[in-house]
Amino acid sequence: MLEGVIAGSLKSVYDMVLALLSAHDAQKRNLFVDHVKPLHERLVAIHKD
Amino acid sequence: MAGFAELQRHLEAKSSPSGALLAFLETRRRDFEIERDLAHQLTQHLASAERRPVRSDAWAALQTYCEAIADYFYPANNIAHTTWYTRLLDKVRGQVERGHTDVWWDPSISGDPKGDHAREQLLHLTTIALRDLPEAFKPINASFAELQTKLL
Repeated sequence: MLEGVIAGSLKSVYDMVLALLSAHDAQKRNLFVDHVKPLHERLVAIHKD
Repeated sequence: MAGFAELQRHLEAKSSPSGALLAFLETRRRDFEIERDLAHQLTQHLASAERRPVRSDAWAALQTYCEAIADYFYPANNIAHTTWYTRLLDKVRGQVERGHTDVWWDPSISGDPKGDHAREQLLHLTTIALRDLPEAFKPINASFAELQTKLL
């Protein structure tokens, strides 16, 4: 179970960064709220794991 | 970091890890390899990104943040940790399989074949968990704070 969570988390980070980089015509605030903040929260969770 | 807790417990007790724990730690080693691959791919995507979601200074901050993420998962100084971890796992697994009474026996850190090797490994592990990993995460937090000021 834990192993799946770890691998899934890492894959999701990758997907989230790609989504962040490929976002375009986005308002800065939306970019932060929709992409950067969730990505950072996921990174913190992985770091603590 | 919590993934090391069980290993730490066995080192403190100088007890032999179970097969299930070794299997879990092997999985964690594979995760390290996945992390390195992801970091490499992220770096490549970042370098070749043509569409910029934001302009100028915000883009620079965004690049710095993404680079910090890639560095966290594959920093140059993490190679030593990974090597140590891989060697420890291989050594312990081999000694468990051979029925060695002290599975933590490994004089490579102190050079003393009669030293307290479990304690030496524990000190090394604690240094990584309490100092090196938090230190490695600092650039992510710093660049996140900078990016936040550019976007909000």
